[in-house]
Amino acid sequence: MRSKLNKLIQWFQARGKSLLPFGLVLLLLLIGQFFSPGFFSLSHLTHILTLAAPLGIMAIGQTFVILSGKEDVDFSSGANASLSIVLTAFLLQRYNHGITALIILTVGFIVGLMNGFGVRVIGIPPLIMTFCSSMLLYGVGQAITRGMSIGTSTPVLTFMALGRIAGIPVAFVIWMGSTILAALVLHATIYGRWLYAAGSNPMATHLAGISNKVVGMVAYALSGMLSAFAGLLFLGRFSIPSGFRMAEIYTLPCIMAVILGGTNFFGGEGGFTGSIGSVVALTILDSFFTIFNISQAWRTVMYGLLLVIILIFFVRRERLRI
Amino acid sequence: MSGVRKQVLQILPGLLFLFLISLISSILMPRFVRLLPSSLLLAIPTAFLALAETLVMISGEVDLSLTGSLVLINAVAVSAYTDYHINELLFLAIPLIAGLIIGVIHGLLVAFGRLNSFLVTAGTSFAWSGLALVILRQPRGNVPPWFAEVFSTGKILGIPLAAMFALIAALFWLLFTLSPLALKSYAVGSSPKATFSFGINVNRVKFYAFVLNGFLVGVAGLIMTGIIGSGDPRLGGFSTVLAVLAALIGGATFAGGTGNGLGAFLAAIGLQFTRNLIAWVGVAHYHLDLFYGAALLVLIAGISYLRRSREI
Repeated sequence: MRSKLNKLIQWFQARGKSLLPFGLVLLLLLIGQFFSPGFFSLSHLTHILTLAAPLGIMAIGQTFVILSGKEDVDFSSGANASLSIVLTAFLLQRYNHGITALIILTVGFIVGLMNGFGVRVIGIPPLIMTFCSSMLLYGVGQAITRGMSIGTSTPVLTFMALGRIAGIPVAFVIWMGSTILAALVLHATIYGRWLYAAGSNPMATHLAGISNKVVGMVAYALSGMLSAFAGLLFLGRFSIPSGFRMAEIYTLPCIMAVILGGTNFFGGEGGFTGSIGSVVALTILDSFFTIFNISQAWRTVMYGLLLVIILIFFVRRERLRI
Repeated sequence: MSGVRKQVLQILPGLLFLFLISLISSILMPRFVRLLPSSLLLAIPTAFLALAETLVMISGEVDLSLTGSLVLINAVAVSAYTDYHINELLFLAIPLIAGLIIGVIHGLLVAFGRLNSFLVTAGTSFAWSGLALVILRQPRGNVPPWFAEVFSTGKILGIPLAAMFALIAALFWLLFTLSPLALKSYAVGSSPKATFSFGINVNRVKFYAFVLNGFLVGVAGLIMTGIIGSGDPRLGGFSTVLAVLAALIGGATFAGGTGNGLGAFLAAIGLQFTRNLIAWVGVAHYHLDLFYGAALLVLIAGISYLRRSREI
């Protein structure tokens, strides 16, 4: 009995970091219930899970990138999803869903690969590289739309983003499916082992004959592809692409979710479990903003400040010592 | 003597870049020489941002919030004048004070909070531009009439404004390089650990670098406000990327310990001319961002590739 209790305590100590966001979810739900009765109900909860799905899918890709190295982070995921929204609406006017999805995912993958190439082969710092490429992606979006709104969502995309099967949100199922698939890649393939190795000790990884560059580039490419995929769901939800920066506001939450989820920003440690909780927590926070009627501008301010607070708690340099 | 020679050598890349772009422009664009005074003045805010970026990059950090800070400073100044009718002299001081406050906040977070400057400033950039949007809501407001007048004529007491600002920047850089802070900044940037071992307060040096950076962003904000003559929460655009790239051309690296403010200043002007050039060549306005962004990215990639450290 006692040893079982010890084991339980050990399990909690090992998982503490990734369980914290779920505690946060519970806390936020209780606060929400206090301010607006009916907040902590099954119907509202499923609604939140529906809304959380695209961000959750972006966070999966971000996790790959952050795991892959010391300072690696993908700041272009919001821009990537934004481009995907515009491009999907544009392509759906000509092609069917299958071809469109294929093109979108390929474009996302190539954009991610470009990021990875810039960071790993050319040696541009990750944030600078992805910052620049997001500028470029918005430029492409602007060139496609020319300042007008083109195309709309289709019933299929709307069903994917907002529909339900037997009461379960389709978007949530897609999100969980992607997470399981990604977790399989991370924990059951050799690539997953390489990713953790490259993230925790690049030198040792290099000496073991594994190319850090390739491992990193694949991580960025996966992140690009998943962000583009999230763009499909965003289009389904927003229904009309009213600009070429629609998913920009999700850039910071995507990074925050991964760091808050217990993944070490300096690489090599973490996983998806915590990210799921923190994505849900951030979505609940966003729905608070909606309840209190807080404008988009204030939301941007809050997200910026929240990132700083999360950094203070999770990502600090070591003190200089002799 | 050797100090002067070193400065001249360090300014050279930026100067050469500006000269090259000007040469190409004057060949391709017949209007270039006639428009030179006004396009120089338009490039000055970015040039000050490049100088500001260089100061933090020397100490081994980066400021990615320049666009956000610039917009916020513009918003605060214009709103203070339009909505609260403050004294006109105070109006000139507000951008500088706002810049200093922003610099102090960044300095505290990065130096004493021991946070990653890339991520923190990327985060605050969102916060600042959001705040600017909260303050202004839409492009609006005005500045003191004489202030707008000075910038539209481009001359003050017969002296071209652009030349005056360039002189101010040069003086600022001269004072910085002569001050003990410069030596400490370069030392901190090249090896924080060694500098720390010699008893220099590394965090304080980084903090001062950010405060100076904030002040210069304030200057850029003041000039920008004068040029556009109103408040615009969607200003800025490529400012951050331009400043980083100009600092790189000026000799700075992301690792820290090198860099020349004047070289960056000149390079930033050259980069602004590049935009005019791309627009002149006949790129439609909705394609401009794309082509310009691609050009900037290629330049950054090229410089980073040339200066890459041999890594595993």
